[in-house]
Amino acid sequence: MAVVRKHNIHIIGNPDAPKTLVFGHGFGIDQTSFSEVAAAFTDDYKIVLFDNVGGGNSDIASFSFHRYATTAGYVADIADIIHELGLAHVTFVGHSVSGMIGLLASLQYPGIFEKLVMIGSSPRYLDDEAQDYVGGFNQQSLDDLYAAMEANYQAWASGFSALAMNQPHRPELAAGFAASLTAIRADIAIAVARSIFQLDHRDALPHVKIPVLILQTADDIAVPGAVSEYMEARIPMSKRIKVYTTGHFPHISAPQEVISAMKTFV
Amino acid sequence: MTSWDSKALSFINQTSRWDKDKHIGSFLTFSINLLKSLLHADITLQIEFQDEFTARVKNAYPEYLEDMVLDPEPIKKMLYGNAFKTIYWPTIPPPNQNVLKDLLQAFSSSVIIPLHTEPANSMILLGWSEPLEMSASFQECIETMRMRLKEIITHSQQHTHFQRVAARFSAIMHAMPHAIIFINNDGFSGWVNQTAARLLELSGAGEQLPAILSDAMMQLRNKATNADEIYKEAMQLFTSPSNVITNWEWKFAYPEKSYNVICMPVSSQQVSGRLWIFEEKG
Repeated sequence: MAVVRKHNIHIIGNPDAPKTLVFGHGFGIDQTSFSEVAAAFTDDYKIVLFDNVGGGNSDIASFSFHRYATTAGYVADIADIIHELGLAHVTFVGHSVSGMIGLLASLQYPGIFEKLVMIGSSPRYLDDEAQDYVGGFNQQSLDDLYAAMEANYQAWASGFSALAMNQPHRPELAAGFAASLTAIRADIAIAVARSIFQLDHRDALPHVKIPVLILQTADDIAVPGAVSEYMEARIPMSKRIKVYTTGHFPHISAPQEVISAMKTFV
Repeated sequence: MTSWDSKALSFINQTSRWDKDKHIGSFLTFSINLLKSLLHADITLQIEFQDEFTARVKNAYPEYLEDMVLDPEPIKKMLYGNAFKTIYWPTIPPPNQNVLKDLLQAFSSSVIIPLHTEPANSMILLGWSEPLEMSASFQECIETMRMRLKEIITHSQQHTHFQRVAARFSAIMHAMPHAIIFINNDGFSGWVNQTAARLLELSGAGEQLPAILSDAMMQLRNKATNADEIYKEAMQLFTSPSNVITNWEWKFAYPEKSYNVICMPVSSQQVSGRLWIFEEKG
C-alpha cells in the first residue's frame, strides 16, 4: 500500500480492539518519540504510528515544497492514512504542530476522529498585539530563527534542541533530538519550520466538534502556558491538563505523566 | 437575450472593468466571487494543480475550504478522461464515484470548469445545494465565462510569475559587489544596482532615467584622474553599437581607488541597451 511506504506506517497493539490510537509526531522528530507512551495502550487499542513526509523514515521522494508549504498538506496526509487503512473510532494524538493538524483534519473531514489529544500544540506561534494574543515569538525572533537555520543548520539544531527539550539534567534527550533534527535535509527543515511558525489557525478553534485534551508542560520554549489557556477557552469540548515536566516534549521526558493524563480522557 | 446570456455578458463586462491598480491577487478573487453571485452558487473555488503531489484550493467559498490540499492525480484523471471539457453534474455522483466528494458534501448539482493555463493548470468548482437544471443556454453561459476565466487566470498567474522573477533577479543584482548600470537604448529606461547607485551618488537603486544615468556617469568620469584617457577610449567605443571594451581602467584620487570597467551591448528581442560593470580593483 503506497501510503504505508510514504509514511513508514507501523501498526502495533491489539488488532481486534474496537478503538484506534493514531500518533502524529512534531517537527524534528519521528514516530519513535511515542514509543513509551504508545506501549501503555497496546492491550486495548490498535495503534498506528507514522512519520510525516520529510521526517523519520518517510519516503523523501514524496516531499513537495508546494504540498507542505502550509499545514494543509499534512492534513490531507492524515485523511489519506485514515481512509486508506480503513480506520474507525480513532483518537488522534498529535504532538506540537501535529496536534493542530489533527484539529484541522477533524474540521475538514467530519467524523474522521472521535477524540483529539494535543500535546504542546499552538494555533499561532507569533504574538498578535492587536488581539492581545501571546504566541511566544515576535516576527524579529522568528526571522532570526530562520536566518540562524539558513546560516548553519547543524549549529542551529544543536542549540535549539537543548532549548526546546529543556532537560538540562538529562542531556541525552537533547542530544537525541539534535540527532533527529540534523537527520532532516536542511532545506526541508527550514521550509517546514517556516510553514509551522507562520501558521495562524485561531479562527478554527471554536468550530471543533469533538472532545479535546490539551496537554501543557511548564516552561515550554515553543508554547507558553497562555497559549494552552487560550485554546481551552475557545475549543468547546476541551480540557487542559498540566504535565509536570519542562520542555516541549513531555511524551519523551515524562511519558508516565502523559500516559496518566491520556488515560483520564481516552 | 436569455437571462443566462445576460449573466455571461455581465461577467465579461464587470471583469473588464476591474481596477488594474489593485493587487493582481485580488483579480481572480473578485472574478470568482462574481461567478458566485451571478450564478447563485453555494460553493465556488479554484483548485490549482501546483505539482504532482499538490492540488490546492484557492479563492474558496465557504472560506473554511481555503488552502485545503487534495491529491491531484484522481482529479486530473477525471478531467482528462473528460477531454478537459467542462463537466456538468445536474446530480452529483455517489461518493465512491466522486473524486471531489470531500468538497461536495451535501450539494445537489455541480459544474467543474478545467482551465489549461501556464505555469499551473487550474479548475473552477461551482456547486449548488438545490438541484439545478443545466439547460443549453446555461451551458453556453458557462462556456463563455470559461473563456474569460482562462484569460483572467493566465493574466494573474503570469503577472505573479513575472513579479517573482523580477524580485529574484533584482535581489541577485543588488547583492553583487560590482557596480552594474544598464542604459536602455529606448531613452526612457535604465537600471542600477545598489553598488552603482552609491558609486554614481544617486538617490536610490533600481529604475532610473537614462538622462540621469548619463549625467551621473559623466560626472564620475570628470572626477577620474585619467579622465582624458577615458574620454578617448569612450569615443572609440561608441563608434559602433557592437563595440565591447574590457579592462578599461578608471582611476580616482580622493579616495584613491581604481576600477576595472567593462562596457558591452545587450541585445535581445525585448531589450537593447548597454551594460556597464565597474569592478573595484583590490
